[in-house]
Amino acid sequence: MEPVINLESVTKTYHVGVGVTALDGVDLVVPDGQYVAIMGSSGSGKSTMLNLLGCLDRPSAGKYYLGGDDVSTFSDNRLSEIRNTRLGFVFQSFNLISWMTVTQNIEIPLFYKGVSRSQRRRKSAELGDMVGLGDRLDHRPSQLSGGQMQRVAIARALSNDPMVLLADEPTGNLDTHTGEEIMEVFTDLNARGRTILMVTHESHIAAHADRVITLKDGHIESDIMDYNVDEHHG
Amino acid sequence: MGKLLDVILLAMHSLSVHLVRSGLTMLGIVFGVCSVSVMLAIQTGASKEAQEKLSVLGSNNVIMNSIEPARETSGGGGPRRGVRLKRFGIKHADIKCIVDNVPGVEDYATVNKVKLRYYCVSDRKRYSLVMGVTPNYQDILNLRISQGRFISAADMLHMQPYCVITETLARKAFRCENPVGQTIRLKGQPFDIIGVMDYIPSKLGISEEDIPIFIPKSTKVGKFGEINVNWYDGNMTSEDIQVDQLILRMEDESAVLKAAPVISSIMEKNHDRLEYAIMIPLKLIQAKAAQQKKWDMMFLVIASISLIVGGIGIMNIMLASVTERTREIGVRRALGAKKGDIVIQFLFEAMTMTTIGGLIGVIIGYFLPPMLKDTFDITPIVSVPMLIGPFLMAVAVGIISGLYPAKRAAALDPIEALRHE
Ligand SMILES: Nc1ncnc2c1ncn2[C@@H]1O[C@H](COP(=O)(O)OP(=O)(O)OP(=O)(O)O)[C@@H](O)[C@H]1O
Ligand SMILES: [Mg+2]
Repeated sequence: MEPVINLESVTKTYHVGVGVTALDGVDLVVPDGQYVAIMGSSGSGKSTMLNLLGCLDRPSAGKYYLGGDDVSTFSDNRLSEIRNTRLGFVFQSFNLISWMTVTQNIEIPLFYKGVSRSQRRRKSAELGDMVGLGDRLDHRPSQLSGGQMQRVAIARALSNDPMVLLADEPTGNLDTHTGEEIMEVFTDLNARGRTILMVTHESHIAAHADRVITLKDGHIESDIMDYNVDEHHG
Repeated sequence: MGKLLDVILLAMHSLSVHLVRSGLTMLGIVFGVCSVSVMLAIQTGASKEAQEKLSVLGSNNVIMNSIEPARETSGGGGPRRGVRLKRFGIKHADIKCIVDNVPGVEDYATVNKVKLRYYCVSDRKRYSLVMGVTPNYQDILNLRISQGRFISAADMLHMQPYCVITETLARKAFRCENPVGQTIRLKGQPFDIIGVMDYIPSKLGISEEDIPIFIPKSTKVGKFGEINVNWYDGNMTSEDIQVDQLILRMEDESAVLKAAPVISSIMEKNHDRLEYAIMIPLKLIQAKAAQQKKWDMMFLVIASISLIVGGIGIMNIMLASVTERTREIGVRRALGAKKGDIVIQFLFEAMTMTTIGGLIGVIIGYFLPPMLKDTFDITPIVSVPMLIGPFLMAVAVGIISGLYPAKRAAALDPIEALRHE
């Protein structure tokens, strides 16, 4: 079966005075349904890689196949469509729009997909329920706890039923207990077949994943399958 | 369609978050649109007024009045005591000369005036201005008869003792009765009222206060003579004026403009003193319209500037809003918004502000001008189609002032926008 994600010697160079190579010839194949954690020290290129995977940026060199399409050649508008329909984003700082309610935030990807208002309402209520916020649908983000905000963000990321869920340190702004709760949501989603790529600093968070990739200076230093098995039995 | 509504609702929602800010920003547009609307109303009122004046006086007419020359030019000794005969004004010979030499004269009417006591049943004895006119006077000056008829050629020929009075006199003297068929006395002589004139345009040199009464010119000469005798300050003066007023109707407006210098030169040749005045309604109105246009332009420019200032206010707020909401823009881009979606979102916010502001401005602009009637000597005229222009201007200001901030928002790099703060 075709992999969901296929990076072929992807390089990303930033030109600020001197060139900074944030990613240096990375190859990565992620099959459908895999739960991948991306680790590495600060500045190793984790966010750069996730931005590329999330089609927010294009590689300087190399190819990126998402669901079989070479998205590295896509136009800006096509990339927007890809982000909208195939990818879901969860951020460290939640990034909810403060003046919109929980439902309205969950609806955003549906809005840009052109889904009708009544269907958006129905879908967002459903997703809000799914992440356990069925009674908070008309609340503002400021009226929610950090964990609740991240749940809204997850519901929002799932609203267009994406191929891949991308998360950049989703528990970074949460306390350990709440972080664990959020991880349960991710584990649960993966158990139901969702492909997840998650950047994290913490090994106990990475322990939830099937596979852990460690970056160093822009290339993959280690790529360990069955990380949790290694962790607990190795 | 649903998508458009979605975008509008989103814009409204976003604006409602900062209600005071949006409201204050909108105020600039409200004032701008309102002042443009008021200006248009005043302008429309002024031009309609000018049009009416011109249609009353006749754009094809040249009006000449006899005037008493200044005393110094009369020459020959000081003023004699007692009876003094003053002889001045337009002569029959002048008319012949003008009609023969000025091209484009279509018709002309003459007026001989005399101040006479009049008397009728219910009005006190007073002086009225009796106007001996030729039958075409009504037609040339486009006067309206509300009851009965005007003096006819037959009346003129037979020197009939008929008269036409004004609506004002009719109301005062006869109340609810029909004045037509009644009799009025002028210097003791009975005259039958044959018609009532609608109103007297003030520019004719006569007003309602003069109590004008129109009679055939032949009757005037026949019954009261050519020489008018007046008692004034204990002195009796008599005036011999052949024609008090001459109204020439020209073929068209260009003939009027061409005739003016010719008439002037004929009159200058025939008279060695200034005992006549030439009035050309077309020129007067044109001069007034030109003056009005200058003012209109100036006010419209000022009004437009206030609209531009309003637009700058919108642009300013939108730029601030884009900066403030950089992260929101990043999130939207990450979640699938295209550049165009971001442009539309911010453009619609600006347009929503100016459209609502424009609507409020236009509504005020509809109800305000009638209240300004007393402030200006012009009655402003407002109509709904007239307000479409200012409203569309507001919408256009929204597009113009919103486009740059919206483009800036769309040009933001999503990754940087997400990292903002
Ligand atoms: N827009 C940019 N312009 C220039 N250099 C950049 C840019 N973004 C990232 N970099 C550089 O690329 C390298 C990788 O950065 P990246 O943000 O991917 O690191 P990271 O692994 O996510 O670190 P952290 O764990 O601190 O988030 C760093 O050296 C960084 O300075
Ligand atoms: Mg990072």
